[in-house]
Amino acid sequence: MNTGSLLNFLNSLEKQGFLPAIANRKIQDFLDYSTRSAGKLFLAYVAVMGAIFVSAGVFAIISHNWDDFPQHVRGVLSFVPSLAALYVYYLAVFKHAHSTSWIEASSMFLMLMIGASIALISQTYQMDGDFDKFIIVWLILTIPLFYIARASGIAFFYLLLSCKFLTPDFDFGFFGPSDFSLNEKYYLFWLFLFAYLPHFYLSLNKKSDHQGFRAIYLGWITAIVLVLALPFSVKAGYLWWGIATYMGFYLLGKKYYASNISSLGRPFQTITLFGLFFFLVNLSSDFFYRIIFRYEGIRQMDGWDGEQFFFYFLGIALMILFTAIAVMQKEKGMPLNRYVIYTPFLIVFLYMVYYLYQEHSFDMEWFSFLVLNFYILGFGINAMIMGNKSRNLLYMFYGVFVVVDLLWMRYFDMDIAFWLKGLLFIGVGFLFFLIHYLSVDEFEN
Amino acid sequence: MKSKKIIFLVFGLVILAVPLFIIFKSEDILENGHRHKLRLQGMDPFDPFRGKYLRLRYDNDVTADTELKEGDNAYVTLEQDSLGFSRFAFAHKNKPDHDDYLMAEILWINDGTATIKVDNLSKYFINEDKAKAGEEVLQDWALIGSGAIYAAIRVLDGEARLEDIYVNDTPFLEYLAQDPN
Repeated sequence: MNTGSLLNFLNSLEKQGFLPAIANRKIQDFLDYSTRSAGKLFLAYVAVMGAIFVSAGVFAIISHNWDDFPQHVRGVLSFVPSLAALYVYYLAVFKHAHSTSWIEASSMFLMLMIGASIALISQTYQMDGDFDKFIIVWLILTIPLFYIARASGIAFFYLLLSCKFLTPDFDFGFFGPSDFSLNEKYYLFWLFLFAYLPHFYLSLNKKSDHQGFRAIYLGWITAIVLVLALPFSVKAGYLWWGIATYMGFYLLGKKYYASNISSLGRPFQTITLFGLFFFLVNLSSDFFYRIIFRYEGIRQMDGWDGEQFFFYFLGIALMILFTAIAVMQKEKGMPLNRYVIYTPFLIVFLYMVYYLYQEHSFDMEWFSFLVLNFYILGFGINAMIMGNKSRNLLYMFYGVFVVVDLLWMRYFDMDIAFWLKGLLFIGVGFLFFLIHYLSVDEFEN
Repeated sequence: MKSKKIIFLVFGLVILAVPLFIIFKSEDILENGHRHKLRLQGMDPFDPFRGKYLRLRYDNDVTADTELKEGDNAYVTLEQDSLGFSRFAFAHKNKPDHDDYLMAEILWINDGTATIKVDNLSKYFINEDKAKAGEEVLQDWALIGSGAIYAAIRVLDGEARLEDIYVNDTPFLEYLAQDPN
C-alpha cells in the first residue's frame, strides 16, 4: 500500500469511528516524517549517482590522451578536475551545509576527481607507477572527507579500494605445491579501516537504539567488508577472530539498532545470525570440523613468527572480552539470544575435545558432535519461538531454515543403518506436520 | 565557521600539493636525470582510467648482490655498451655513492641473477587514435632489433621517468605524424 492509499484508509477508519482523530493525526505525522526521510535518501542517491557518472565521463575524456597539447599545459590541466571538484565541495560545505545531497555528491565527486588528477599527471609523465602507492595516496586524501562535512556515500568506494591490500600473494608452483599467503601490505587495510571507523561511530545516534538510513547503510557496508575481509587480513587465529567479530557485531547491533523494524534495518544482528548459522552448520560436518581445528592447531605454531602469535592471541582476547561483556549484559537483563552469546563456550569445548583426541587419543568426539548438533537444533527452535513471540515471520523462517539445513546435512553424512535413518527422518517429517497442525489456527485465522 | 574554513583551505592545499609534487619531481628527473637508451618491444593494451598505452618491455635480468632476496627493494645501476645503449646491469643491496641508479623490486632471484620490476618505465600512454599505428610501428621495428627504435629514460637518485620513444632518433609521435602507417 502506498502512502496516499494508506492516508485514505486511515481517514476512512477515523470516519467510521475505529480510529481516534488524535491517533490518526499522530500516524499521519509519522508517515509524513518517514516519507520525507525516504525522499531525502532518494535525492541523495540520485545526486551521488550523478556525481559518479560525471566522474566516469571525466575519466573517459582523460583517457583520450590529449597529446597535441605540450607537456606543461597538460600538467596545468591536470589540476582542473581537482580544482573544479574543490569548488563544488566548497559550495556544499559553506553554502549548502544542510543539504545531504550536496554534501554526499560533492564528496563523491571530489574523491573521484582526486584520482582523476593523479591519473592525468601519470599519463602526462608516462608513469605507470606503483598502483599500491596510487591507492594509498588516493585513500589518504579521501579520509578528511569523512570528517569535514561527514559524507558517508564515499565509504563504499573507500572500503572497496582499501580491500586492494587484501588480494593474496599467490605463487604458482610448477614442480611443487603452490604457495598462498596474505598480501604483505594487508596491514594497510586495517589502518584505513581504523581511519574510517570514527566516522561510523559519529554517525550513530548514541542516545537511541533506533538508527536512521545513514547508520544502517554504514552498518551494512562495514559489517560486510569486515566479514569478507577477515580471512585475508588476520595472520592467524581466524577461528577466534571470526567468533569475536560476530559477538562484537551482535553487541553493537543490540545496543544501537535493536529498535529498528526490519532485518534490513539491523545489519549487525542479521549478519551475526547468518554468519553463525553458516559457521556452526559447516562445523557440524566432519570434513570442515577437522580442517578448521587443524588450521588453528597448536602444532602449527612451531613455524609461526611474532606477527602470527600477536594475531592469534589478540583474536582470543577479543573473543573473551566480547563474550564477557555479552554475559554481563545478559545478567543485567539485556535481551540477548543465549544461543549467540554461548557460542564461544561451545567452540572452546569442541576445540578441547579435538585436542584431547589428537594429543592423548582420548576419543570424545562423538559426544562433541552430539552436543554441537543439539546446540544448532536448539538455535533453530529458539529462533522459531522468538520469532513467533515477537510476530517476526522472517525470524521464524530463519529458525526453520537452520533446523532444515542441519537435518539435510545429517541425512547425507550420518553413518548409521539405513533402516534406522529412514525411520528417524520419517519421524522428523511428521514432526514438521505436527508443527503445521499446531500453528494452523494461529496463522490461518 | 572560521576553523572550518581553515581546515578546508589546508585540505584543498594538500589535495593540490600531491599532483604538484609529482609534477616537480618528474620535471626534475627529466631535466637533470642521467639519460639512457634502452632497447624495447611493445603491444597495445588498455587502462580504464588513463586510456590506451603501449606496454614496453626491457631486458630486466640483472646480476645481484648475494644478500638480496625476493621481494627486496634493490638499487639498480645501468651499464652502457659500445653502441651507446644501456641495460640494467647490477642490483645492489646498498645505495651507490652516485645518483645514477634506480630503485627496483626483486621479483625472483636464482644463482646471483635477479629479475627486477622497475616502476614508471613500462607504459607509454598514447592518444587513442594513434595507439594502433604506434603498436604496429613498435612491433615492426622491434622485430628488426637493430636498435633504431629505443626508449630514452632519465634516471636520478632512485627514480626513473620515460623521456620518449625514438625511431631513428625521431620522437615517437613525430615519427607517427610523418608516417602513420
